[in-house]
Amino acid sequence: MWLAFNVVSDLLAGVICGLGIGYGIDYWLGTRPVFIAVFLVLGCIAGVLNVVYFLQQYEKKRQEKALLPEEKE
Amino acid sequence: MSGPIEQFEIKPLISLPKIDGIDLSFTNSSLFMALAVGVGSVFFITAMRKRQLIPTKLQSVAEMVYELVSGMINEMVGPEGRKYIPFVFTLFTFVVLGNLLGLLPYSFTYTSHFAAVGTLSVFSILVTIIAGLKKRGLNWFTNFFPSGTPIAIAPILVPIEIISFCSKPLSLTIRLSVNMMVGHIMLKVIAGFIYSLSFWGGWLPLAFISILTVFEMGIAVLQAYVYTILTCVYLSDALHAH
Repeated sequence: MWLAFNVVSDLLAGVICGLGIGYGIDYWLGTRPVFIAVFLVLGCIAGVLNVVYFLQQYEKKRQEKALLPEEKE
Repeated sequence: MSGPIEQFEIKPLISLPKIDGIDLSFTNSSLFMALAVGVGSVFFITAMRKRQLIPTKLQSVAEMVYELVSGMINEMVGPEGRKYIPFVFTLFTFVVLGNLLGLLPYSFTYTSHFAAVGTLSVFSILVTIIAGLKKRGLNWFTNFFPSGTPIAIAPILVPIEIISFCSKPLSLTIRLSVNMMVGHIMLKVIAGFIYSLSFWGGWLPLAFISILTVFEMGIAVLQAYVYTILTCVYLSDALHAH
């Protein structure tokens, strides 16, 4: 269950962060919708990448140690 | 009867004058942070005062917490992470005490607030940045552009890596505070059922809430563990090239 929470928060954080950076740059330069769109897409990709990295690491750890006690999904 | 959200309200206990537009009042949130620091310090100082070879009960609990944290560091960061055990240990104690003190009746859970956990996460990420810069110098910046990637995709990859780095504290924050918030709202809502179902129907939610409270204690410790272990992962990312 905590694994699912991890994945969700990673995805969300990527999107929110991209949105925030895009909004900040737009606010600064006064080009309202342009950078929000660009960074939103980049944020989504970053979120997915974070999840992929995390799951790769998790899988590696899991194979090293046959069974973690708190790993009941 | 109070609503399920009212428990998260921040009330100033000692009102202080605003300085430069920033409200610096001592709130119930600050009270519980101070309490967590106090309880943690008193516990570890009394537990470790005697330092016997054959530990007393209290001492073995303190040693267990230490073993947990040092095991985490050894596994995730490796021997060069031993310098950061005090930092990670403090972080773990603060978060776990915040979660557990928040489960007491009439208490306040500061770990359920975005602002409190967010500040904590930003500071812990700053520590990892400083640790990385100290260990690897400017090589730390190669984290944003791993060696071996073709230079042509740099304009896309670098912003993505930067966003993914910036999202780390946010992801830590969301994970911990949403978990705590959801748990506490659920407890309050089910406690409300006991009241509204009166004497005859109220036993079922009462039984359920007892199980749920135990479950929440598990979540409190587990989330603190996850928070700390992810900080260790970020620390290891900062210290090693990947």
